[in-house]
Amino acid sequence: MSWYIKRTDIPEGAEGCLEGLVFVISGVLDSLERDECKDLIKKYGGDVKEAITKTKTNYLILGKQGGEAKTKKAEEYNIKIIDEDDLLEMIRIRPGKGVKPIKAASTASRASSIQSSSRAISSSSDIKPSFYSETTTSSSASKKQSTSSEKNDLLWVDKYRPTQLNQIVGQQGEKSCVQKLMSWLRNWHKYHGKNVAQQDKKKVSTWNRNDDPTLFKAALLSGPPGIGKTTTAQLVCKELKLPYIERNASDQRSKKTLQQYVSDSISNTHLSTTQIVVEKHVLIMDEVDGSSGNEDRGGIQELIQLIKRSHIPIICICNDRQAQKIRSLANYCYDLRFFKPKSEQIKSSIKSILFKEQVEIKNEILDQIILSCNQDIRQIIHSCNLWYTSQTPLKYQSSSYNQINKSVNNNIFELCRKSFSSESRNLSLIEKSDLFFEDYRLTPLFIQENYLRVVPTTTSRDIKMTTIQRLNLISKAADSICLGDLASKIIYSSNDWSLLSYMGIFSAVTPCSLMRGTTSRIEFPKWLGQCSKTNKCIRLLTELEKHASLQISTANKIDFNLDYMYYLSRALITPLQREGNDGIEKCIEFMDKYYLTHEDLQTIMEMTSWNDGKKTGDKNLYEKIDSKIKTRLTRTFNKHTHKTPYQIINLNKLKKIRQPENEDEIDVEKLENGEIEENNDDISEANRVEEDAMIKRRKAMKQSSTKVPTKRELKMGPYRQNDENLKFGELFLKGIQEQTFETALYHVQIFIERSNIDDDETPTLIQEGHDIVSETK
Amino acid sequence: MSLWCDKYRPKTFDELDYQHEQAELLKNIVSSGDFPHFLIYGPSGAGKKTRITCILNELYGPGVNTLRLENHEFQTPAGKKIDITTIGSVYHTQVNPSDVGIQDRLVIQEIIKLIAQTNQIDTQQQRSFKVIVLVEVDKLTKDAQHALRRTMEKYVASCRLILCCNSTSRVIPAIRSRCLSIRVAAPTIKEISIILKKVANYESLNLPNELANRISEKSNRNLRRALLMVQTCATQKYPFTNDQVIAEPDWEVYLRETARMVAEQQTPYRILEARERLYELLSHCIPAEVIFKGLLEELLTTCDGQLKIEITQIAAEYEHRLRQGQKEIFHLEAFIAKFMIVYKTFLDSAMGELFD
Repeated sequence: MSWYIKRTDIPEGAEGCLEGLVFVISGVLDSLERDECKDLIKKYGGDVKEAITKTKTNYLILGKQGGEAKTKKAEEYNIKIIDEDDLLEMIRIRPGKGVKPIKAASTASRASSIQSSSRAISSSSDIKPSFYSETTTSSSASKKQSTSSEKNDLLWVDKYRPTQLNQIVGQQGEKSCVQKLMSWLRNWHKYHGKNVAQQDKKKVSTWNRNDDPTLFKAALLSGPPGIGKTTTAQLVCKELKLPYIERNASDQRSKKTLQQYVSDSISNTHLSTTQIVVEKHVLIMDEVDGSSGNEDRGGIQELIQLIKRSHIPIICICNDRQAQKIRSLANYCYDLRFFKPKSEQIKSSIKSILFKEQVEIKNEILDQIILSCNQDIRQIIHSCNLWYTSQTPLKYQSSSYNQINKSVNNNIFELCRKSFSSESRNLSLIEKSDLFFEDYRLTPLFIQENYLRVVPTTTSRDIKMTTIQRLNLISKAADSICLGDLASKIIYSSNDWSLLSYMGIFSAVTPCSLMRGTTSRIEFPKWLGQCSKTNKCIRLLTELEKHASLQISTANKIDFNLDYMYYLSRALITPLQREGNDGIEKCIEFMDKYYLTHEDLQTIMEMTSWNDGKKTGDKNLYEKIDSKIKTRLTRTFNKHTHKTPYQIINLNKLKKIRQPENEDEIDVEKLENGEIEENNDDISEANRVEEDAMIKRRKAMKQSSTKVPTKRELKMGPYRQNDENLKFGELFLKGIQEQTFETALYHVQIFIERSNIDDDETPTLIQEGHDIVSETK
Repeated sequence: MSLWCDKYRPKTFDELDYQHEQAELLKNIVSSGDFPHFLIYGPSGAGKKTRITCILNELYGPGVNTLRLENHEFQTPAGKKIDITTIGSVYHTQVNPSDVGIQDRLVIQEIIKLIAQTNQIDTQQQRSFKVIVLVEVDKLTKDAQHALRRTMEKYVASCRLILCCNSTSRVIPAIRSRCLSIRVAAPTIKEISIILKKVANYESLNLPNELANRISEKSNRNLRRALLMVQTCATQKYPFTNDQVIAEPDWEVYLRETARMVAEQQTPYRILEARERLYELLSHCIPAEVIFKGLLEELLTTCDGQLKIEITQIAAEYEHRLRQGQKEIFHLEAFIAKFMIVYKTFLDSAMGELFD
């Protein structure tokens, strides 16, 4: 707690001097802010309530403009009415509760125990420190048992790791994840064991599949860190007496290694220590969302394969259930979500630990620790451990508390909300800009996205802010954001990072201070999406302008966009609208004149469609045209050959992808064309050609079966003619010859996906593919 | 079938329809065999590129009309590969260095060197130099412009530059002084009308005078746009009528609608709506400057007297910041917010006076 200007005349009272007293505050106090006053009372053990009750309230602190109702009530109930000065006086005078000097004693004994360092782990089973004990903080300082000292060199987190299922915080209920996991695991072999016949398996229905856990061969535990997912998995296995193998992110989990390591263990049987063959064991895959980078490539896919084949249950654990890579996995798993336990639940278990360690942390401090650690039990225990080790007596809102507070990784949405809310009104300038420095790239965007949605609160609650006043604030905030943008430009263009703090002030602190108020929901900045959309459009536009550049009269794409685009789209679309099928020829003729490809047509239509806020406005004119006409247009366009001046072939690249030549083919071609031609004879070949940005995809498909131009052909000029449209099946015939039926079908599928063939044609094509492939066989 | 503005584009000086004096001058300079670097500037749709084509035609003959695309690839010192496409004939090359963004300096250095270092093979038959047309020179970064000024002097023997841009204000003085600056002014409304009628005649259509004038006015003295408008009108409705609807570019309509929304109501929610629309405009590659201009023009129609001056001044200030800044939407939005507060205060005070 650091006020910007700290009051000097707040007295230091004895600790706990207000213990047991309940206050109600009304009106504006002379020097203290309301929150400040609350903190002050809480610091000394008192409590602050909103409303007066007859039995519980001890004092009413009355400031200026205090509520009349409260005063009346207080008089009625005979509750003492005091003002701010009285309160301070009370703090000064009242004696504190006897505070026991526990620290010195406990640390001394701890030091000695470390020296003795009796690592009697064998005896560890005797002590079962429970996470779920009912003990309260009636601390007894002198009590120090020798049993706990035996494991003192362990971190508390490991020392008090739950060893039984009922010790896991917040997982006691009938429907808790632990119980679900138990029953799933218990029944696993009933449904998926080796002896179960295939037809017994039920069909997976698409909805409410999570209701029936027996369908799944794997479970997915997900939830925030530090709430006991791994522990749960391990304990459940222990409870059911199933041995388990655990793999986590420290193990390499690429496709290969997974195959090697895990598939062995999946099909193998387990030899337990007692030399009895146990068939049932469990695989725990921890931190599955942590698989990343080159080492873990294909890991998730392999895992899914494993799950399908597995003869043993698999438990997967991850943090982020919504992550892209987890999604595919989640389809095969029984979904168990862990939620943060309530702070009361955590509190009791933490208290029991503290009791065992003979440390006293006050209730309200514990509350704050739990809050600041975001209900991460592991971190809470760590924090307590840290204080214990650092040996400094804990004070309410002491500096060490602040340290912990900072270490919490805040969510950017939460940060943004905090910046706008009145919570941060009392923060110092430095602390306000700290909110910006949490993520200096993203925060300005968040602020900019959301500042308009904030409803600013006025200083006095009764007066509602007029639109003019609000607009005035908005305008000032917007100006400040602009300045922040200028600062960021200078920072990035001239690497002058000393300006970063100014940027923080302009783009985050000032707008937030101006617009302080209530927000409904923090939106993710649209700027990022719009920016990539703009970039995509620029790329398409560049491409389009390049194609048309030989014909048009302007030399830059912006002018092309501003002047041509709309009229071009009209010229293309009008014949289709007016004449239907007869207009197709006209449209294609026009496209040829401007060397446009089919993709360009799409681009033009996309660039001329506008979203005017209505849902219906999304569709562009082209989409409104009858789909039959569109299909015909596509087909007719693909049927003809089109001269394109821009298909520039890079010889170097082509050389790289040349395949060993197919001798027979060359002979035939030689006879026909009198030229040496090569044959790209694989579909994967075509894909690689496609990587060449200059060659359009559709053409690449055709090239896969046709020929790579020879030098002489290239010399003939930039105009290249595509070969006549080959029949679909022939494209693959050559490549397929040595391969099996399955791979051939796979190629067929790829082709259909990649080409612009219309949907209604697909079945016939597949049939055609089947025929050809079976012929080849 | 192609668009009329491309179909009937003049290729030689004799075919030009307006600015005959300037055409004569250019013709004389070019035909004398040698000429300095040119800097051709003017608003879009005025005929800059047409004049460049004419110059090239005059220099090399019809050979310059067989165009081809070429793809060049460079590597930056940092190892990044960049591609750029040039248009050119045997005699000239047209490059738009700003296609590659901030790496344009490299394009200037590499391409010009590449072209300039090889001399023409047959100097007897042709000129002793090649021509490089650089477009959008005003979009070049300062670095690139400085790189250009050295190359301009060094390779003057083997190549000539024709620079083309909309405004010289962002071309550094060092380059301006090395070039012969030629301004291509936009044609007057009368000239446009005449040309429109001429083109309609070629297409054997009958364009009434009044419609031609209306289109010319709508086109903002942009000849290209005027021709495109006529053609769209012709496909929409022929024979022409005088009160026919003239199709304006969709983005202009959208922009005007946005401005109208802002002028109509001044609330925070309106700003949010306007932001959506501005994003839409920006993502359709409409430059922020154009949006700014369009907004201001439309907003000014709702203001009067003193307010007009004030709003214009505000707009100028915000546009200046926009050019210095990075994220265009911030500045556009700040301008709208500022306009709203100024406009609303004005309205409220006017209302107050009314009731007093």
